[in-house]
Amino acid sequence: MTPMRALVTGGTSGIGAAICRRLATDGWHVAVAGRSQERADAMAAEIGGVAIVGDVGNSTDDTVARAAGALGGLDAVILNAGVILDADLPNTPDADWDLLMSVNVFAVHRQARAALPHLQASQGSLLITASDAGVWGEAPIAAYSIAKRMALTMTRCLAAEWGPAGVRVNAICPGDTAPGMLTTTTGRRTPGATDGWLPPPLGTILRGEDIAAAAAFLVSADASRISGTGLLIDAGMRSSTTAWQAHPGVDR
Amino acid sequence: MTRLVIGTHGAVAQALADGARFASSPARTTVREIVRRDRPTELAIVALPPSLGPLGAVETSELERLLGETLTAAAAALQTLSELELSTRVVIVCPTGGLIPDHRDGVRSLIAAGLVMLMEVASTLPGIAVNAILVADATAPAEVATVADLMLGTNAESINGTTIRMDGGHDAVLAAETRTEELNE
Repeated sequence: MTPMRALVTGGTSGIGAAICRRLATDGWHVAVAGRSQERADAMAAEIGGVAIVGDVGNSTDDTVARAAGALGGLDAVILNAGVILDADLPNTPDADWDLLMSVNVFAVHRQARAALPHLQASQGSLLITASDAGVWGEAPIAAYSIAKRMALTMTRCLAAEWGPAGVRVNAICPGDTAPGMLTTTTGRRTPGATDGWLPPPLGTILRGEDIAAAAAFLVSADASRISGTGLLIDAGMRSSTTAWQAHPGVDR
Repeated sequence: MTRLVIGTHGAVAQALADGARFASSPARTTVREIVRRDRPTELAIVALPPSLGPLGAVETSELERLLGETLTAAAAALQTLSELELSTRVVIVCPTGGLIPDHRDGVRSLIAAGLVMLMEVASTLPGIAVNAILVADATAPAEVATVADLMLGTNAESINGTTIRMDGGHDAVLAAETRTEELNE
């Protein structure tokens, strides 16, 4: 049986790496895309995939075309690459704003358009990594929240636009996931402790594997009638204005 | 009271600017200079560009240009208000697709969605009350001006971080137009 073929951008660490591992376990042939040759090679070697090195924030980046060439087509494209800035609106420098929009909005748009012919040929699906902050914003990550709201709107628009061509488009909206986003507008950071994170109602901080399970479902045949959705995977954090106080371990 | 209107987009901006300072340049640096100069107590940001159609059909460079003229300029204005520590009421006027997208008008829906989230995160800033008015192309500019006057002129501190959709009920339910036609037949 011919394996399904997937491209995962931002696939060398965090949620993207977890998605690569999960898809490979499920029998997919995976193209791991990232900016670092070393990390992409390592992940590809680990899962038996192929490494694609590129910067999706670059307007001439051809990650999608190279992945399609390497795998002989694409059944799923998972646009997961993103950057974050821990800053409220007044403390967001122009250069950081521009970079954040470039990677989290424009690159997603550009790569989605590049993916369409491949996904139309395979009757496949596009999956965009949005965020719970795009569903319900967070002032301390203002520009990120704005960009992720736009990623969700892009998901819904493209789902309606490309549905008649047989292409599904969905988004995942992860909550706080350990070890947190490592790629910021100012470079890569080392993982920090999650001790101070607010616990969701289910009590546990999410892991990459939790998000990967949802991603694997949405690109699978089991989700063949699901399109235009933004699936929250946040252990209940967006269920109430005070959900972070629900767990017994938190002072009320 | 000092009202400033920022926007390049047509009759709604003109209606809101009646008697107020009107700044048509969307450039980020220019917006900051104008806000610093005028120190407005009322700011209307009008982002109603012509439709560019569906998202999949537009080049990413066009999306970048439009976002720069609207969302980026609006963010710069709000940043400057915060920097000046002014007490200002703000309305952002943008297309209805910012709440429920219309894929045929996907580009504007995307920009409007960003503007709505900008409004939401900016509503937490000290001294600034910011709300959004979402309008359809057919919405009468005078009606928009009336609602904007209310939202800018009120002293009600509770009106902050909210949206008013002015589309005659078009987006209240799925395919409202079609259902209304069916009922009338």
